[in-house]
Amino acid sequence: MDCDADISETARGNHLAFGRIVMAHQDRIFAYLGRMGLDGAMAEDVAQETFLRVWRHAGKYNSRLGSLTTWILTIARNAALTRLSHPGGRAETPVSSETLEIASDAALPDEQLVTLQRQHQLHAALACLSAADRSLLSSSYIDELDLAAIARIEGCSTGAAKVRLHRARQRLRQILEADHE
Amino acid sequence: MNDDIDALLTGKPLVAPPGFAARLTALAQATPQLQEQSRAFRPWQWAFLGAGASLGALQLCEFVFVAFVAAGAQ
Repeated sequence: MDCDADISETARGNHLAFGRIVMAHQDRIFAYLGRMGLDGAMAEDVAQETFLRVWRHAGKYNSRLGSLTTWILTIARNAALTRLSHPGGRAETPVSSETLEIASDAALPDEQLVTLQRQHQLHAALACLSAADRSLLSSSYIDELDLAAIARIEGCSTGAAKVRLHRARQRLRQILEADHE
Repeated sequence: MNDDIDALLTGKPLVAPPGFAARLTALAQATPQLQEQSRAFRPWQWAFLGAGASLGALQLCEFVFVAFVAAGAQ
Protein backbone atom coordinates (compact mmCIF):
# COMPACT_ATOMS: atom_id res chain seq x y z
CA MET A 1 0.00 0.00 0.00
CA ASP A 2 1.48 3.42 -0.89
CA CYS A 3 1.68 6.39 1.45
CA ASP A 4 -1.20 8.29 -0.16
CA ALA A 5 -3.51 5.34 0.43
CA ASP A 6 -2.20 5.08 3.99
CA ILE A 7 -2.91 8.74 4.76
CA SER A 8 -6.47 8.36 3.41
CA GLU A 9 -6.92 5.34 5.66
CA THR A 10 -5.41 7.26 8.57
CA ALA A 11 -7.93 10.05 8.02
CA ARG A 12 -10.64 7.40 8.45
CA GLY A 13 -9.15 6.39 11.79
CA ASN A 14 -7.09 3.37 10.71
CA HIS A 15 -4.31 2.94 13.30
CA LEU A 16 -2.46 0.34 11.27
CA ALA A 17 -2.15 2.70 8.31
CA PHE A 18 -0.91 5.40 10.70
CA GLY A 19 1.67 2.96 12.07
CA ARG A 20 2.92 2.32 8.54
CA ILE A 21 3.30 6.06 7.94
CA VAL A 22 5.29 6.43 11.17
CA MET A 23 7.51 3.48 10.24
CA ALA A 24 8.14 4.89 6.77
CA HIS A 25 9.03 8.39 7.97
CA GLN A 26 10.41 8.14 11.51
CA ASP A 27 14.11 7.84 10.68
CA ARG A 28 13.93 10.66 8.15
CA ILE A 29 12.27 12.92 10.76
CA PHE A 30 14.77 11.98 13.49
CA ALA A 31 17.72 12.57 11.14
CA TYR A 32 16.25 15.95 10.16
CA LEU A 33 15.73 16.97 13.80
CA GLY A 34 19.19 15.72 14.76
CA ARG A 35 20.79 17.81 12.02
CA MET A 36 18.80 20.78 13.31
CA GLY A 37 20.75 20.38 16.54
CA LEU A 38 18.08 18.79 18.74
CA ASP A 39 19.33 16.21 21.19
CA GLY A 40 17.82 12.72 21.36
CA ALA A 41 15.19 13.44 24.03
CA MET A 42 14.01 16.69 22.46
CA ALA A 43 13.97 15.13 18.99
CA GLU A 44 11.80 12.32 20.34
CA ASP A 45 9.37 14.83 21.89
CA VAL A 46 9.15 16.85 18.68
CA ALA A 47 8.82 13.73 16.51
CA GLN A 48 6.00 12.46 18.72
CA GLU A 49 4.23 15.81 18.52
CA THR A 50 4.71 15.83 14.75
CA PHE A 51 3.21 12.40 14.19
CA LEU A 52 0.31 13.06 16.55
CA ARG A 53 -0.48 16.19 14.53
CA VAL A 54 -0.37 14.02 11.41
CA TRP A 55 -2.85 11.67 13.08
CA ARG A 56 -5.19 14.44 14.22
CA HIS A 57 -5.11 16.41 10.96
CA ALA A 58 -4.79 13.54 8.45
CA GLY A 59 -8.00 14.72 6.76
CA LYS A 60 -6.34 18.02 5.86
CA TYR A 61 -3.57 16.47 3.76
CA ASN A 62 -3.87 17.42 0.11
CA SER A 63 -1.62 15.49 -2.27
CA ARG A 64 -1.94 18.24 -4.89
CA LEU A 65 -0.01 20.63 -2.63
CA GLY A 66 3.00 18.34 -2.18
CA SER A 67 4.13 14.88 -1.17
CA LEU A 68 3.31 13.33 2.18
CA THR A 69 6.99 13.58 3.19
CA THR A 70 6.96 17.32 2.47
CA TRP A 71 3.78 17.72 4.54
CA ILE A 72 5.16 15.77 7.51
CA LEU A 73 8.49 17.65 7.36
CA THR A 74 6.63 20.98 7.33
CA ILE A 75 4.81 19.91 10.50
CA ALA A 76 8.11 18.75 12.04
CA ARG A 77 9.81 22.03 11.15
CA ASN A 78 7.03 24.10 12.73
CA ALA A 79 7.00 21.92 15.84
CA ALA A 80 10.80 22.16 16.16
CA LEU A 81 10.88 25.94 15.64
CA THR A 82 8.09 26.41 18.19
CA ARG A 83 9.99 24.25 20.68
CA LEU A 84 13.27 26.09 20.06
CA SER A 85 11.64 29.50 20.36
CA HIS A 86 10.31 28.80 23.86
CA PRO A 87 12.45 30.08 26.73
CA GLY A 88 14.82 27.30 27.66
CA GLY A 89 13.84 25.43 24.54
CA ARG A 90 16.98 26.25 22.60
CA ALA A 91 18.86 23.15 21.73
CA GLU A 92 21.98 22.72 23.73
CA THR A 93 24.98 21.82 21.69
CA PRO A 94 24.36 18.11 21.72
CA VAL A 95 27.18 16.17 23.20
CA SER A 96 26.74 12.51 22.47
CA SER A 97 27.60 9.94 25.09
CA GLU A 98 30.51 8.91 22.88
CA THR A 99 31.88 12.45 22.94
CA LEU A 100 31.70 12.47 26.72
CA GLU A 101 33.59 9.22 26.75
CA ILE A 102 36.51 10.85 24.94
CA ALA A 103 37.75 12.44 28.15
CA SER A 104 37.75 9.21 30.06
CA ASP A 105 38.61 6.69 27.39
CA ALA A 106 42.16 7.28 26.26
CA ALA A 107 42.14 4.04 24.30
CA LEU A 108 40.02 5.49 21.46
CA PRO A 109 41.78 5.26 18.10
CA ASP A 110 43.05 8.64 16.87
CA GLU A 111 40.87 8.62 13.76
CA GLN A 112 37.71 8.00 15.76
CA LEU A 113 38.69 10.69 18.21
CA VAL A 114 39.19 13.21 15.40
CA THR A 115 35.82 12.31 13.86
CA LEU A 116 34.06 12.77 17.19
CA GLN A 117 35.79 16.08 17.80
CA ARG A 118 34.78 17.28 14.35
CA GLN A 119 31.19 16.18 14.95
CA HIS A 120 31.25 18.17 18.19
CA GLN A 121 32.66 21.21 16.36
CA LEU A 122 29.98 20.87 13.71
CA HIS A 123 27.20 20.81 16.30
CA ALA A 124 28.71 23.85 18.00
CA ALA A 125 28.91 25.61 14.62
CA LEU A 126 25.32 24.64 13.79
CA ALA A 127 24.19 26.16 17.07
CA CYS A 128 25.53 29.52 15.81
CA LEU A 129 23.09 29.46 12.88
CA SER A 130 19.46 30.50 13.27
CA ALA A 131 16.95 27.68 13.79
CA ALA A 132 15.36 28.46 10.41
CA ASP A 133 18.74 28.15 8.65
CA ARG A 134 19.47 24.89 10.46
CA SER A 135 16.11 23.59 9.29
CA LEU A 136 16.87 24.62 5.70
CA LEU A 137 20.30 23.02 5.81
CA SER A 138 18.91 19.88 7.40
CA SER A 139 16.12 19.41 4.88
CA SER A 140 18.62 19.83 2.02
CA TYR A 141 20.14 16.48 3.06
CA ILE A 142 16.90 14.55 2.57
CA ASP A 143 17.42 12.69 -0.69
CA GLU A 144 13.93 12.77 -2.07
CA LEU A 145 13.43 16.51 -1.61
CA ASP A 146 14.21 18.85 -4.47
CA LEU A 147 14.71 22.59 -3.99
CA ALA A 148 11.03 23.30 -4.72
CA ALA A 149 9.93 20.92 -1.96
CA ILE A 150 12.47 22.43 0.46
CA ALA A 151 11.14 25.90 -0.37
CA ARG A 152 7.59 24.68 0.35
CA ILE A 153 8.67 23.34 3.74
CA GLU A 154 10.45 26.60 4.56
CA GLY A 155 7.58 28.72 3.27
CA CYS A 156 9.66 30.73 0.81
CA SER A 157 10.31 30.89 -2.92
CA THR A 158 12.71 28.46 -4.62
CA GLY A 159 15.12 31.30 -5.36
CA ALA A 160 15.09 32.51 -1.76
CA ALA A 161 15.67 28.94 -0.51
CA LYS A 162 18.66 28.58 -2.82
CA VAL A 163 20.21 31.85 -1.64
CA ARG A 164 19.53 31.13 2.05
CA LEU A 165 20.98 27.63 1.69
CA HIS A 166 24.13 28.97 0.05
CA ARG A 167 24.56 31.58 2.79
CA ALA A 168 23.94 29.08 5.58
CA ARG A 169 26.57 26.70 4.17
CA GLN A 170 29.00 29.58 3.72
CA ARG A 171 28.48 30.73 7.31
CA LEU A 172 28.89 27.18 8.61
CA ARG A 173 32.11 26.82 6.63
CA GLN A 174 33.45 30.09 8.03
CA ILE A 175 32.71 29.03 11.61
CA LEU A 176 34.35 25.63 11.09
CA GLU A 177 37.40 27.21 9.42
CA ALA A 178 37.72 29.68 12.30
CA ASP A 179 37.63 26.73 14.70
CA HIS A 180 40.41 25.01 12.77
CA GLU A 181 42.73 28.03 13.04
CA MET B 1 35.45 21.96 3.16
CA ASN B 2 32.08 21.43 1.39
CA ASP B 3 32.65 17.69 1.30
CA ASP B 4 33.69 17.91 4.92
CA ILE B 5 30.40 19.57 5.89
CA ASP B 6 28.48 17.01 3.84
CA ALA B 7 30.28 14.14 5.51
CA LEU B 8 29.72 15.57 8.97
CA LEU B 9 26.06 16.34 8.41
CA THR B 10 25.24 13.00 6.85
CA GLY B 11 27.40 10.86 9.09
CA LYS B 12 25.72 9.02 11.96
CA PRO B 13 22.24 10.53 11.81
CA LEU B 14 19.84 10.44 14.74
CA VAL B 15 17.48 7.45 14.46
CA ALA B 16 14.13 6.65 16.04
CA PRO B 17 14.37 4.72 19.30
CA PRO B 18 13.17 1.10 19.20
CA GLY B 19 9.41 0.75 19.58
CA PHE B 20 8.75 4.39 18.68
CA ALA B 21 6.20 3.54 15.96
CA ALA B 22 4.38 1.02 18.15
CA ARG B 23 4.19 3.52 21.02
CA LEU B 24 2.85 6.24 18.75
CA THR B 25 0.28 3.90 17.22
CA ALA B 26 -0.95 3.08 20.74
CA LEU B 27 -0.99 6.78 21.61
CA ALA B 28 -2.99 7.57 18.48
CA GLN B 29 -5.70 5.13 19.57
CA ALA B 30 -6.29 7.31 22.61
CA THR B 31 -6.13 10.58 20.64
CA PRO B 32 -9.27 11.83 18.90
CA GLN B 33 -8.95 12.99 15.32
CA LEU B 34 -10.17 16.39 14.23
CA GLN B 35 -13.13 15.99 11.94
CA GLU B 36 -13.15 18.34 8.99
CA GLN B 37 -16.30 20.43 8.79
CA SER B 38 -18.00 19.71 5.50
CA ARG B 39 -18.09 22.77 3.32
CA ALA B 40 -21.09 21.48 1.37
CA PHE B 41 -24.42 23.17 2.09
CA ARG B 42 -26.81 21.24 4.30
CA PRO B 43 -30.48 20.85 3.20
CA TRP B 44 -31.76 23.44 5.67
CA GLN B 45 -29.16 25.91 4.38
CA TRP B 46 -30.42 25.34 0.83
CA ALA B 47 -34.01 25.86 2.07
CA PHE B 48 -33.08 29.20 3.71
CA LEU B 49 -31.22 30.31 0.61
CA GLY B 50 -34.19 29.38 -1.61
CA ALA B 51 -36.67 31.16 0.65
CA GLY B 52 -34.48 34.29 0.72
CA ALA B 53 -34.08 34.31 -3.05
CA SER B 54 -37.86 33.82 -3.56
CA LEU B 55 -38.66 36.66 -1.18
CA GLY B 56 -36.19 38.93 -2.93
CA ALA B 57 -37.61 38.08 -6.37
CA LEU B 58 -41.16 38.68 -5.10
CA GLN B 59 -40.24 42.11 -3.75
CA LEU B 60 -38.52 43.01 -7.01
CA CYS B 61 -41.65 42.02 -8.99
CA GLU B 62 -43.79 44.06 -6.60
CA PHE B 63 -41.55 47.10 -7.07
CA VAL B 64 -41.64 46.78 -10.85
CA PHE B 65 -45.43 46.32 -10.80
CA VAL B 66 -45.97 49.36 -8.53
CA ALA B 67 -43.65 51.46 -10.68
CA PHE B 68 -45.51 50.32 -13.81
CA VAL B 69 -48.95 51.13 -12.33
CA ALA B 70 -47.72 54.49 -11.06
CA ALA B 71 -46.33 55.33 -14.51
CA GLY B 72 -49.67 54.30 -16.10
CA ALA B 73 -51.69 56.44 -13.66
CA GLN B 74 -49.71 59.53 -14.63
